[in-house]
Amino acid sequence: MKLPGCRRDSHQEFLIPSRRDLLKSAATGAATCALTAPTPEAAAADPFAGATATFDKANQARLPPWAFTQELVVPRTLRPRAMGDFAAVDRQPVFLPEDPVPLGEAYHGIAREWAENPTAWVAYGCDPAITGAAAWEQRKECFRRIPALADIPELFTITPTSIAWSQRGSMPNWNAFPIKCYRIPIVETLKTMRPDAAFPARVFTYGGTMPGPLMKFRIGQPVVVRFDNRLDTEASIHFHGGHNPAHADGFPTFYVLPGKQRDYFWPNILPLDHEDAGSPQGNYLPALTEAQSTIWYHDHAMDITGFNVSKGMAGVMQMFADWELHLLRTHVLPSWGEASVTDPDQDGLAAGVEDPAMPGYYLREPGKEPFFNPFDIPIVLQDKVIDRTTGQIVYDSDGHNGYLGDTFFANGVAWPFKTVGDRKYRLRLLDGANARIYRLRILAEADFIRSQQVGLGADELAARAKPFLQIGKDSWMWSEALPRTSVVLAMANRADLIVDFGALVGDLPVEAGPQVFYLVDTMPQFDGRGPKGKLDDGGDPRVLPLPFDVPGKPLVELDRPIALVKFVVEREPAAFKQAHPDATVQAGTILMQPRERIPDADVVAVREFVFERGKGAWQVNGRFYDPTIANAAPPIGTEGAAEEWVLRNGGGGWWHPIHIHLESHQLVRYEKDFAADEIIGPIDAVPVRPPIDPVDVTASIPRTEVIANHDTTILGPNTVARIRMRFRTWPGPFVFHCHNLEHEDMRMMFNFEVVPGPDHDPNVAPAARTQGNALTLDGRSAIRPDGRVGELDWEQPPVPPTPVREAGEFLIDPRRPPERP
Amino acid sequence: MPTVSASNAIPTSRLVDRIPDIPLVNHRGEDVRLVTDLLAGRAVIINSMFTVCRGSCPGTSQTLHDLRPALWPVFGPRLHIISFTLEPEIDTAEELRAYAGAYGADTRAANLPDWQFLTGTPAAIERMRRGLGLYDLDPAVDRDPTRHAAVLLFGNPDKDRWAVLPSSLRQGLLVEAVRRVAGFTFEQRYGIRG
Repeated sequence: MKLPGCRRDSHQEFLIPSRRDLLKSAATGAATCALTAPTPEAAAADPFAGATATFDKANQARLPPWAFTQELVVPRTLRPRAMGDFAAVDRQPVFLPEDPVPLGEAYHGIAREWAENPTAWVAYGCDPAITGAAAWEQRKECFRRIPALADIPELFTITPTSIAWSQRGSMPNWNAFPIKCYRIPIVETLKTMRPDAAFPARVFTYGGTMPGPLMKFRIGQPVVVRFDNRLDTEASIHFHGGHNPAHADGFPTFYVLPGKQRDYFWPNILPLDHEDAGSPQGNYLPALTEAQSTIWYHDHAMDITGFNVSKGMAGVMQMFADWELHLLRTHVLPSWGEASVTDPDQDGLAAGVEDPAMPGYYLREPGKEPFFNPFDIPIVLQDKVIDRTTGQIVYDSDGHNGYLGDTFFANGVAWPFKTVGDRKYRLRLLDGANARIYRLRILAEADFIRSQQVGLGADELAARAKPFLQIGKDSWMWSEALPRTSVVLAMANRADLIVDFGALVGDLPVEAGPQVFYLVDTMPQFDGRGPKGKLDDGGDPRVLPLPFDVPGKPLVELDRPIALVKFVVEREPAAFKQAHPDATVQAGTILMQPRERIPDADVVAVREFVFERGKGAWQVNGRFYDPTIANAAPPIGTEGAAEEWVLRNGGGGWWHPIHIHLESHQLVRYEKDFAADEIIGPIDAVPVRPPIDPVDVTASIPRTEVIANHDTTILGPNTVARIRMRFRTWPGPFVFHCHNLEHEDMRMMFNFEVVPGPDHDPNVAPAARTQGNALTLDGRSAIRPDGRVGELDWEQPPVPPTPVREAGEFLIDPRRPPERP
Repeated sequence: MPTVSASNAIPTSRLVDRIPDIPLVNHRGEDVRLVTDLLAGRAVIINSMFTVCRGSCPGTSQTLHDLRPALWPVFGPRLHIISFTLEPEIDTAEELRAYAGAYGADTRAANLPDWQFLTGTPAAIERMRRGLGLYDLDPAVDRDPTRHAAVLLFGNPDKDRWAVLPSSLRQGLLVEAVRRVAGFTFEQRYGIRG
């Protein structure tokens, strides 16, 4: 319904970036056309009249009058509750006074790797007979050494094209720093999601904040987080993009049950790569390129992940390798100098660093907050449906296809603004949405206003978009900084960007005052299927979707982009610039060791997985996820073994970002069937398999990005990705799945069980997943034979000797709940 | 720090708050209201079907038939199974009663969860289908009842806990998921004492 004088198609009311424009729009009456919440009475009469309780597809790009009036909130950094070496914290009540349960003895226990060595680690020189503190001492040798900050300048020989690594000064890979022990309650909290919402929303939060608290630690620094679930929902916390034990990885059925606790143990070590040095034991070196930088954590509970994450269960972590600290200290990357590379709690809990107004969190001041860096801004992008009548986050039933929202959040604030200086900033963007794929660009205020008034064509948009640098994707930094004018961000993807606001305002006179830039989303997405390949309003029908920028085959873009964050650039005083030098990174700057392609000779198994819609839900290889079986059993690559996986989109126009737990993967080949895109038919049309006309587009993607580490690779329609990875360190069950959370919940997920090599035949699938959390499946085994509560067997015999017809559900005895009288 | 609270003064926006109390007729010929009579206060399993379906419906109905005795010991009478027709013009209450008879659900059983087959005006069915999210994005697929999704929507409307799973999952997985998502108590949900 159109109100008289309300020109919904005019986009006039978009122009509210400043107070002046706000007044202007009010004067013309346009402000009265902005979305307003229906009255409670109207909603009670017919709930569907409350249009704000459902996803408003047609108006998702409409900005409310109050957009960009709230400041971007950077999540506060959580402080560990205790620190110490293994002996000081193991089985000790470190969370006193409110929690007397000793570390490691939470209801669901702690990963067995906390105190014991898996048998596979014999190859690394670890003795499974040694446990506890002695095992920790031994592991310092087993897991070798990694470069230390103090010696970095001598360790790296930097030339214009490469960094050579030498083995002089270094620190242990395992336990180089005291163990940080955090305690995070998972609680329901009240938070006002929009200023025009009538009530605050009940949100699910980690520690009371949304997104969850920021945590920062070093590579080589073990961390234990006790998650204390006080919600009436089971949770499972996934450390997304990390390399950690199965028990602490967020396997879907390894729950933290309501009212219970689990101690998540994240050793944060670099995995060991096998270097064939001819010695009988083999020679292992830490894989330096595996050091994570930007991590996130989110809920992963079986069947209800989409609901839980939409309600707020997501947060960000940052990990620091010493060569990244070197880049910060030397101002290659944006930093506050020495304060950005030091942790006041480095050697134990220091005094006077905690914020009295916010107990448990650091003061946000140099020298108080670890790795203090106001020029490094994590931004979690999400979209949600907010019912203005009740103020609640509505998990729309439409979510069965992929939940989209029409209110756009950055760090939990709807359409925020952020004031920045005229210098380089590091923006670490995370797509924390359930099903929205972003294509991000930065537009100057005038261009953005013009786009809202008359629209910008594809060429004009590309020409006017401001340049920036990308220095990493997902958890990992790239070996060099690449120039970009847009970045495609699928669910769970992270983009590590450097935006030079100084250069963006460089041509303007100082008298021009603060300048405004918008981070915008240009992806035309209107449902959970994914971005549209074709625009209804005159888009070139031959312009087809591909999640990478390929010359001559660009993505379709919204001519009226959706604004997400407003940046106000203010000039810094000369004295401030003097005290805090700008970063020197530029296109082509070498940031770390270049990565190497996993060679063909190391590939011991090739597996193909087809991700497709079936029976109204989502399948992998024609099957629905069964948490009790293993769909693949790669060996731990103690001899350098690697696997190649072929990830194939089964069709229907759906987009599937595929996330693989435990290990990073590198892209080998990315193929796109452009001809198949031209077939217009029912969504569930027979998938074109194999693609009728696949085009290898790998060469269009920078090699730095192709062989970089990825943890989530997006499959656009009619695409095939070949990836390679090694499985290292941790035995046990892990999952890989579509990161459209509704697809994941509707079982587009598989298990892989990492089993000790090298004798294991990767072609034999184990009949049943080992190391199961039988808590909810057989209804009897809350108590383990040894009297503790938690998982049953840790490392059962991995592979049955009998041949397996198929890793199917009929091979194992169904574990049914007992009949109750 | 935001305050941790669960104030009763704040309204909810659960699925049952948003879906209208649609009038429907069950296979026993009784007039029922979607929210008041079927959703409120109970755990539910919901699917869509039509009586002459030769595709997924017979399999889904057999799955529900098998789930009834498996879930009765856990839920007792607090679990309802709801199958609503996609062809309300054809599937009258009598037709549905005959269909229900094939699965032993035409009359109330003393020791099995109640299983109601529902019909109504086409507008009511359409609204229910949209409200529950049991539709396809593609209008061509959505118009064709023979291509409807073979999924079970189940949950606990009061707690606003819902999940959707393919009905072809093996029974053990469905029982575990229905218990966990739709259960009222810790023991119902996880099979162990809290």
